[in-house]
Amino acid sequence: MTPTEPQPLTPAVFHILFALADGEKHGYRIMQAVKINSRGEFTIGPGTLYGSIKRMLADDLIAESEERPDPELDDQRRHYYRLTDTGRNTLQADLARMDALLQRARALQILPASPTRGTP
Amino acid sequence: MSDMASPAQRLVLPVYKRLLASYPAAFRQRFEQEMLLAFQDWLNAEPTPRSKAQQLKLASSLIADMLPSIIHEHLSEWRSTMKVSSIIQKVALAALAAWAVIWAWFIGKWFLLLPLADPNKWLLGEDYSHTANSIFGAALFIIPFLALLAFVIPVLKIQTLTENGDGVLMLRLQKMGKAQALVAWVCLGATVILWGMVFTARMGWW
Repeated sequence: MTPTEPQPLTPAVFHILFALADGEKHGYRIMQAVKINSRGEFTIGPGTLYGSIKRMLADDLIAESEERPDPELDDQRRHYYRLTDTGRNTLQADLARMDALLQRARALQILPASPTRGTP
Repeated sequence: MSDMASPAQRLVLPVYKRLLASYPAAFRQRFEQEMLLAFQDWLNAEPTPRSKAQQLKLASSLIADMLPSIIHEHLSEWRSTMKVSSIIQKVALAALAAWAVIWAWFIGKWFLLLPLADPNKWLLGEDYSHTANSIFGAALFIIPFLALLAFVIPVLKIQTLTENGDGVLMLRLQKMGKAQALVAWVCLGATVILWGMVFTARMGWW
């Protein structure tokens, strides 16, 4: 059997991984982070979020965090999720794939060359 | 938290709870409370939908988000409990084999005029009823289609993409083995031919 090729992530999975890259979060915080990270261009509803979370837990991309916030500060019914090593590697691989595409797009002048910094 | 909800939010919550109740039991057991909390947080943070149009928009975006997910979870649940799918496929294969023999027999008897016994009689008995004959006849036309479903549904993948709040449902076929694909193509071909025959006959084209 040949090893399976890494598949590009679906937008929902990519954004959830990205949202968890800077630390563990519960469902609504993930929804917020997705919206902020995509500058409001991508929103994720609870149906898509938890369906994706279920599959990502099964694929070992994320795990439920064992650390719980103070019960007085947060509802204990909430579950917090964090990236696993597999999840972080997968996210990095997808970002690297996008980066390579962007570099190629610049080389082909589909996109302008890297913006110069510090110029008004 | 729901005590603090506005009247408009109190209208939306029951819709959401009803949608939540439509998920498979195992999914609900694991995620229902979390999904409810996440939705309540979201409702509290979003501007309250005041007009009927806004409430309708919210309800429709909820349905667009949840409905593909509900279908996906049911299908995935069905598939996971369906190691049964392989049993169903074996039954489908057996039915297909019987179907092929009977059709071959019919063709041999009625078209090639071979000296064969009447398959209706040896399958349904000497004094078969009209109902038995109808069921038998329908089965001859529907078996390939059912077999096709038995082979295609286990490799059907539902993907939901959500962009700008709009849920998009995508159906994709995952790869299947060569033998499985061959059976599926044969079933599809047989279904198209048989149903084409029924349709054209009904239209009086022959």
